[in-house]
Amino acid sequence: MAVKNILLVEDNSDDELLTLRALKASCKSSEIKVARDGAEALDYLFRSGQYGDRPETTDPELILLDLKLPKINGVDILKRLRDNERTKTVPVVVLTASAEHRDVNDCYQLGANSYVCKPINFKDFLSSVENLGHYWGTVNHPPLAAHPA
Amino acid sequence: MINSIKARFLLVFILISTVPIVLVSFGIGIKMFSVIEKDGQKRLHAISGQIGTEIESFFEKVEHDVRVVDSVVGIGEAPIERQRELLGSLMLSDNVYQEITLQDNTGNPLVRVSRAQMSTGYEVPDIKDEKLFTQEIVSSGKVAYGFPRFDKKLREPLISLYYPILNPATGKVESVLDVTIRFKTIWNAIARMHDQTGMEIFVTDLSGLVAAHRNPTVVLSGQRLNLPEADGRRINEAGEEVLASTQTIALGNTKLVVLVESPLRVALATAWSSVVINSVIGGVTLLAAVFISLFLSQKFIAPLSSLAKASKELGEGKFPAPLVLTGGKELTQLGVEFNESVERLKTLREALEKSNQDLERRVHVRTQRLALANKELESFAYSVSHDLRAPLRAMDGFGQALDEDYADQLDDTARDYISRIRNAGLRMGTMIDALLSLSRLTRDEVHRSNVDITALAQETVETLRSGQPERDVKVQIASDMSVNGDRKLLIPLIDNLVGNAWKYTSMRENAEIEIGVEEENGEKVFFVRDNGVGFNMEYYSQLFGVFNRLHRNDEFGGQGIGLATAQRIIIKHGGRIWAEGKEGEGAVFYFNI
Repeated sequence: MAVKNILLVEDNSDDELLTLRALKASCKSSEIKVARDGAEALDYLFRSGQYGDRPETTDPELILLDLKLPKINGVDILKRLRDNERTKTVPVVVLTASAEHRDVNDCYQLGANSYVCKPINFKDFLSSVENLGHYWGTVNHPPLAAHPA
Repeated sequence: MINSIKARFLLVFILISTVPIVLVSFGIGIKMFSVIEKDGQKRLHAISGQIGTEIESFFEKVEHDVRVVDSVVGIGEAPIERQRELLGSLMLSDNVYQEITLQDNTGNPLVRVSRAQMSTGYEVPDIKDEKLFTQEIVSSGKVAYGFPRFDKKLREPLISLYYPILNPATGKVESVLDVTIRFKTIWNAIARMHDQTGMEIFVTDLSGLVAAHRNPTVVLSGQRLNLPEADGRRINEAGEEVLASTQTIALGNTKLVVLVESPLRVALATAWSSVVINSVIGGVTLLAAVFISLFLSQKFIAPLSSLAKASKELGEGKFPAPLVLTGGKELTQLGVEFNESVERLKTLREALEKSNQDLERRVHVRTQRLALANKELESFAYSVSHDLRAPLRAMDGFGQALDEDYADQLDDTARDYISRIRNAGLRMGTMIDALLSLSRLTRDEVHRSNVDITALAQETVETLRSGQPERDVKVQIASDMSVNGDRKLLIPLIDNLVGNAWKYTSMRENAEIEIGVEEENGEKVFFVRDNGVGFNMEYYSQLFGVFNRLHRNDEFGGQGIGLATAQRIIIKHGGRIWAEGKEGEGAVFYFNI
C-alpha cells in the first residue's frame, strides 16, 4: 500500500530535483512535498506559520530528512518530531551527504528509522533512492494515523 | 716518578738542607780521623823519643860518674880501703845506686858497697850467668849492661852496669865494676806519663821482654811483647787497635826499646764525638726540613686541593661556594678568578635553562598549533572532498536526465556534448580523490623502520601480473634491498614507479623491467628501469608536476599524479628522485632515501 504523503526536506535544488526524479518511479502515487529549510519544514510539520491551515489529512507518512539545512539543522528537526506526540511515530529516513559517526549516532538515538548516505556517484544515488522509495514508500507499512483519515 | 707536590717538596727540602751537611760532615769526619791519627802518632813519637832520651841521659850520667871514679880517681890502683871509700862516696852521690861491686877479672867480688848494707843488710842476688858476663866484658873491654829486672824484695826495677877498669900500663881489663842501678826514677817518669787517655809505656829489651811498666805485675809476669817494626797502627797484646811508637836506646852492648802505645779508640774518641755532634745537627736539620716542607707544601696544597674539589663539584653540575685561597697573591687571585668563572657559569646556566624552558614552551605551542592545523586540514580535506563532489553528482545526474528524457530531441552532437560533460565530471571526481589521498598520505610524520624494498617490489609485480595475466613482462628484482623509511609511504612509492614501468611498456613485445640498487659515493641509489616508451628529456621539468602528463589520454591512461606523489614521498624522507629517459627506448627512475 503506497504512502500517500511524503515530505522531502532538502535545501539543495539540484539534489531536490534528482531525488524527485529518482522517486518518480517508485512513488508514483505519492504526493511529495518539499521543504527547503528547517524552519519551513517545522512550519509544515506542525501546521504553523505559512502552513497554519494545512489540513491534517496531508500529514506526511514518510519524511526524507537532509541534515545540513539552513536555519535549523536536521537533527533538531528530528528531535522536535520525536518530542511531539503526533509526529512521534512518523518514519524518518535521514538522507544526507554526511557519513560522520556522530551524526549517525545522534540520529538513531533520537529515533530515526533509517540513515542513508547520499552516494557521490549519480548511478549509485539513483539506485539508492529508488530502493529507498520502493521500500519505505510501498513495502513498509506506515504507522496508523492518530486520527483516522 | 713521584707525582705529589708534597712529596716533591719534601724531597727537595731534605736534599737541599741535609745532603750538603751530611757530605761536609762526612768529609770532615774522614779528614779528622786521619789527622787525629797522624797527630796521635806524632805525639806518641815525641813521647817515645822523649822517654828514650831521658833513659839515655840517665845512663849516660851514670856511666859518666863511674868513668870519673875510674879515670880521674884511679880506683883500680887504690888500696882496698880507698876503694871502699870511693865506692861509698859514689853510692852516696846519687840515689840511683843500689849496689856497687868491684870484681876481679874473673868475677870474684873484691869490694862491695850496697845501700842495703847501710840499711837492712840485704844483698841483691846475682844475675844469672854473671860470671860468664864478666868474662865477656873482660875480653871485650867494653861497657856492658845486664838485663833489667824487677827485684821482688825491694820492689824496684834494677839494671846492672858492668864497667871494665883497665890497667893503665897493660891496657888489659884488670877489674870490673858491677854497678846495680835503680832505675825507679825512669819508672816513675814513665808512670807519670801515663795519663787518662789510656796510653801505655813499656820499656823492653830487644826481644820484647818487658823491663819497665807502670804496673809491676806486667814486669813480674815476664810478659814478652811483640815489638812493632815501625811506628804506626797495630793490634796490641790485648787485641785492641792502638797507635804505637818505639824508640831504641843503645845501652853499651845492648839495646832497650821504649814502646809507647795509645788506643786508637781513645784517640779517635774526639773525632767520633764530633761526628756524633754533626749527626745530631744533621738529624735536627732533617727533621726541621721535613716539618718545614710539610708545612709549606700543605700551605700550597691545601688551596690547590680545595680548588680541585670545587672543580669536581662544578664538573658534577653543582655550584661550589666561593673559594678563599690563602698562601700568596697568586693563589688569592686564582681563587677570585675561579669564583668569577663559577658566577659566570651560574649565570650562563640560568640563561640556558630559561632559554630551554622558553624553547620547550614554544615547541609545545607549535606542536599544539601543528596538531590543530593538522586536524583542521583533515576536516578541511574531508569536507572539501565531499562538498566538491556534490555538484559532480548534479552534473552526472542531469546529464543522464537530459539523455533519457530528451533523447528524441537531441542529435548526436548534442549527445556527444552531454557525454563529455558527464565524463568531465567523473574525471574531476577522480582527481579530487587523488588529491585527497595525496594530501592524506603526506600529512603525517615519517615513522622510520627497516623496510624490505625487494619484497614490496615483488608484491607490486605480483598484483600487476594477476591484473593483466596475458602480458609477458620480464622483471628483474635485486635481492636484499632494504631501506630505513616509512612503510606506509614506501608502498605507494613502489606501486607508482613500478606501475608506471608496467604501464609504459604495455606496447612492447618483450617488455623488460629492472628494479635494483647501486652504490654511489657511499650512498644507496635505487632505480626502476624499463624499456618502454620513455620520454623526451626536453620535457623533464614537467615530469613530476601535478596533473602533468607527457602523453595523451588515449595513449596511456592515468591522471599524472603518480610521479608527483612519488616525489612528495621521497622529499618527505629527505631524499632525492630523478630520472633519465630516451623517447622510444625507455626510462630509468632513480631515488635515494
